[in-house]
Amino acid sequence: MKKSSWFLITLILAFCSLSYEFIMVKVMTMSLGGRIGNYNLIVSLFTFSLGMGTLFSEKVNKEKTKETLCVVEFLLSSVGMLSPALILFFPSLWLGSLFSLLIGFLSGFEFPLLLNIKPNSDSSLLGFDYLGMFLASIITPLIFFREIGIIPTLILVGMMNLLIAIVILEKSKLSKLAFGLFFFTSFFVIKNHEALNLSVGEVVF
Amino acid sequence: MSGKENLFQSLGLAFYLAGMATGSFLNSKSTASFKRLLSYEVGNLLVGSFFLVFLYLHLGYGISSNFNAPVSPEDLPQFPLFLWGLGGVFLIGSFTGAELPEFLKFKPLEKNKVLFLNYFGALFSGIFLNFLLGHSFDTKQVLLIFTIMVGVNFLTLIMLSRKWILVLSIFLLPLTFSLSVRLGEKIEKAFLASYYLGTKVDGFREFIRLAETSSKIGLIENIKTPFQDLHLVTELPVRGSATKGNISLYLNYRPQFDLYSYTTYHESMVAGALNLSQMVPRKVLILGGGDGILLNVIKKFLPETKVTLIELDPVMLNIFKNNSNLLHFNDDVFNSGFGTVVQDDAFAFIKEDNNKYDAIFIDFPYPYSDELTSLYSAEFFKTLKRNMNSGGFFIVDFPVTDGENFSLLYLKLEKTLKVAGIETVFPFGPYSSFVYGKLKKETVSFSYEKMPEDIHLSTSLNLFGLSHLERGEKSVKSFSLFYEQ
Repeated sequence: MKKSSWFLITLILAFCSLSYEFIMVKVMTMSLGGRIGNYNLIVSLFTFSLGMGTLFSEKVNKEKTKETLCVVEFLLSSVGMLSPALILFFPSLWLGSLFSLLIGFLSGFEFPLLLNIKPNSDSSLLGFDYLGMFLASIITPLIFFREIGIIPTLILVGMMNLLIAIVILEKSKLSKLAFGLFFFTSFFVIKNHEALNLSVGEVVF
Repeated sequence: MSGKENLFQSLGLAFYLAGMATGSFLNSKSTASFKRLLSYEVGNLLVGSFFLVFLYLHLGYGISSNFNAPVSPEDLPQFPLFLWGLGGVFLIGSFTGAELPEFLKFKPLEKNKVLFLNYFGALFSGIFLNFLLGHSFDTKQVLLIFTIMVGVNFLTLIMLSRKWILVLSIFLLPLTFSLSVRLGEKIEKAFLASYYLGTKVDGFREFIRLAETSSKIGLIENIKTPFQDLHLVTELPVRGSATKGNISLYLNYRPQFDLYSYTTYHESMVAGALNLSQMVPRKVLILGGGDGILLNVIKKFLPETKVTLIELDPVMLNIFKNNSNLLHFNDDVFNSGFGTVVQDDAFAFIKEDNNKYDAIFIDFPYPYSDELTSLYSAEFFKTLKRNMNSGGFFIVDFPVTDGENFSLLYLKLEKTLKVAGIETVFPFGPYSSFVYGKLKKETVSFSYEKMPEDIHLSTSLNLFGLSHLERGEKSVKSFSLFYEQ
């Protein structure tokens, strides 16, 4: 895979990680209320587990970096898509904390693994990582949440993550299938965003 | 300050991350350098100390040279907000973003540990920041504490590099801090005076002097709470002026009420809801309303009713219980023994409360933050439904001042309420707008012959249905009692 493709992957993965965090915070506020402690707990646990994930990624066998990254992305996509939906239906601070820890821990693995894959591109990889988070902080709360709602955003981000997991495998047929699935899901989600949001309602302001 | 907290929170984070990305891209040198790391720290130190000072200076001077009346968040010039607010955040992000690659170069074999410590620092900063905000430190003080931490970091780096610059830094650091503190305080006072008192100035010097001279026109109490910035503005009476001599309360730069408007809002809410429901509630819940005015109006109309009031901000409750200038707003209701006051988050309270109420009054501030917007969601009203008796009602403030969007936002709220299972929805109030709701479907309208006689004239004028909104027509609402728009 080309160097530029890895930069793009870094950007998308950072976008997905921060988007999951925005979705978690929004869902937790909607289902448990706006106690400042809840918000802080979620953000702190996410940041803490990011650090732990980074530390644990040292133990990954360097020869299996790509495979590990792929597994991490599959897991992240599943946990990321499942957790907000579960919190909406079974609101609990413990459940929210557990999922935040998991999402943070898995996201923490990403960057060191990418550094292992492209060892001499520290600054550029960091730059794309921040750029991905920059895009997430604009697009997710200001465009996605407002225009299509929380649940459709969650599905889009999860699918994007899944797509990257498959692309990392470098199996062209599977990648093509994944691209197709991603575009089909995106089209379906955007077209039916009102119905998808109806079960959880929407925020007026 | 912009009145668009949601937007600026996202943009603030976005600009910080864009700065981090820019810093990382620019720092692509292959060798590690202490000198470069030092320059990044100096950059952070200077921008961190001064950007808030310049923001107040630019905004305050801009307002006081152009306006001679109090302004609202919408009047604030957007360019300085972007320039100093987001520009400052971008620069801090750039210097911070350039640091991490430098550290990775210093310890190329321990990248994971460097990254871990980087995240750990972010975690510490998050917890420490919330601890400071939770203990009523204001933005300026928090900024100063963090700048001191950057300064200490800077000194440590200098000592590690053992350069002559150590001598320079001994002078540079105290100079930066004292300038930032002295200037910042004075300029913030001048900014608040220009914002709330509408003091027009002719020159820059006059603007700086505003911090002292404004007390002749009015007094501004600047109270920081863990949840909001609370400004209590007392304009001194002026002979021949009908509008001076007012007391107003602002939350996060947004008006809540003043001497001229508070009766209309609170009386409309209580008298309007009671008239529409045609019942005498025995058990009432108030969500918000920490100023006690709504509680006092309910005391007036329903003196025998059992009332519970839930307010998030203990500082708000405290000042409306103890500040003698404010007691006439609520007739000292908090010391009268009427009602039970609970300090808690409203959403969290109704989730855990198993009581059922005949009437629920929702009196929240303008929904400018994530926490407040979540109170206008289907989840909130679904939860609220569990706390309502089958024949009970709720009434919620619908604080929209924009005539163009009013109808659109109302339809969105109506849809949200329907999703939550509220069958009857009735909007009213051309001056101060409310939405009245009931679980069961029924036709509601005002019975003017049953209106209490002792309500104010301005309240009577506000008790009109806004049924045209349901048809999606543009609102006639283009003004409010509080602001001339």
